[in-house]
Amino acid sequence: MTTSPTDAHAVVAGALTAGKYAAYVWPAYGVTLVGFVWMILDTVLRARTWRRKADRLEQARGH
Amino acid sequence: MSVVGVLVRREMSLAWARGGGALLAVGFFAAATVMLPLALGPAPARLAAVSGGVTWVVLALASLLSLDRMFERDFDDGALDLLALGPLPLEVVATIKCLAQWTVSGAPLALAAPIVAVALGAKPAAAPMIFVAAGLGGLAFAFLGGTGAALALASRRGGVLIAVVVLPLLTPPVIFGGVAIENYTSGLPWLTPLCLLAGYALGAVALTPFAMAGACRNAQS
Amino acid sequence: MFAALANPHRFLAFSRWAAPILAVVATGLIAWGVWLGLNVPPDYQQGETVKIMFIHVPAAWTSMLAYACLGGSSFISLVFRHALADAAAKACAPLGAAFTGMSLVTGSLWGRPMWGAWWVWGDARLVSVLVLFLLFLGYLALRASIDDEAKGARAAEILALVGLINLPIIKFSVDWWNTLHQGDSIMRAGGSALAPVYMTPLLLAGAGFSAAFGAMWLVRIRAEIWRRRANSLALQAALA
Repeated sequence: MTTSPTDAHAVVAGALTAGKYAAYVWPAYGVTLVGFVWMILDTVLRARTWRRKADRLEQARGH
Repeated sequence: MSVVGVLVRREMSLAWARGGGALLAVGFFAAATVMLPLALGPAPARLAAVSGGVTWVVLALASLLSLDRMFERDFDDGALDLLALGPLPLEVVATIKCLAQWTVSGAPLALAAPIVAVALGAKPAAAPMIFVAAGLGGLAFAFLGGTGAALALASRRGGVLIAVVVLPLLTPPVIFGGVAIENYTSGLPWLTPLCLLAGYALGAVALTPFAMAGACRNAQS
Repeated sequence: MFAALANPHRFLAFSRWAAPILAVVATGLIAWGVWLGLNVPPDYQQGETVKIMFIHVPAAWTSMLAYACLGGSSFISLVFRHALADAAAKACAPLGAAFTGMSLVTGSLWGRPMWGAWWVWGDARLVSVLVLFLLFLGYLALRASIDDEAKGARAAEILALVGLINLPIIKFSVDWWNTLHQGDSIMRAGGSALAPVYMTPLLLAGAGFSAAFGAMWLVRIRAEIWRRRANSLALQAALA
């Protein structure tokens, strides 16, 4: 709507324009990104740790 | 009926014996409000502007003070187990405990609050409203605080935990009471906020005993 | 659906494919919504800060969804005594707190250029989200401070239910308080009259955030099931 995409650079540049509010827009996106990365890492690592622990104990019992 | 009477008498004497009784809550309330002019400066106009609100907030904090021993003492010495086996359901026991707590914190604070607010510069005409709001709000604070105390029973570290758990739940009564006091002082309609406060307090009296009884049974199990 | 999932084995089988699918859907929806959101024309009042709305409002929606899930799981756990419902409640709270925190920070970053202040008490929605954040913190604090797992679970459930009943009243009281105190009217995008250019990316990102929450929730419940299994196996091994 803002650009008719002839040049990929122009499209991305248009999306990344925040004018004089860049100092507020990008930290907001950054905080959200950090939040998501933390949640995903914490969730995945937790699941992997406990799954391995449970599997190991299960195997130990099997022997 | 006599069972209730015995329990009421027991809880009252326990509540009044606990940690200095009403003296503790009133003492904290007075000391905390003395800090205010010392921190803000003595300018009467500035103090008068915040007198009602500050009184109200310190009141909410003061009523959370002596909560941690409310169930814990009976839990530790086994009295709570006896009460659970007794003829009255735990819900009624919890209600009586909270009402006793209210007579130690809510009621004396309701008497102290208008004096403190006026000392800070509130109009003396606001005193009756502060009295009524503090009495009603204290009821809500006592029952929600009792819920927090019963929940913290399983943790063995009451105090700050109770405050962290309970304070966000106190948002509605703090707002309703604060608006009632402020509107009354500035001549705006005050009946609606007061009714909302009364409704909230009655709702808390009606519903939280179930949560408290559940929390006590959980801690005992 | 619910009865079938109450069995941990069936839940593990279900979430094994449901979680990745949700994660893919979430990634697509968030990417699409945020891309559209980054390309909206600047709002005539908010300028480019309107771009913050497409992550701030979805985070706020998701935090409320998370509290509803927390309350719902707690209720099911309390009434039907399903161990899985308790695992679900436990898995829900940190995610909810994280989304609420994100919503608060982005709201503050939006407020600074718009209102000239990092925090404005005059906005009822921000204040409600703050109270929601405190509710999550209280829940986590209570859960963390009780050593006995079963007792901690039950106490936390009771607290979540009390909070769930209180939450609409908190919302009402804060909104009402705000109407009384609002000096000059603060316009806020997200009201009823929002142009489709803004509404579409907002809804897409909102659905994406919710799906991401769902995916992470499922994985965390899986982690909790394994944790319990590991603990009981370790106990068996110690007793054998």
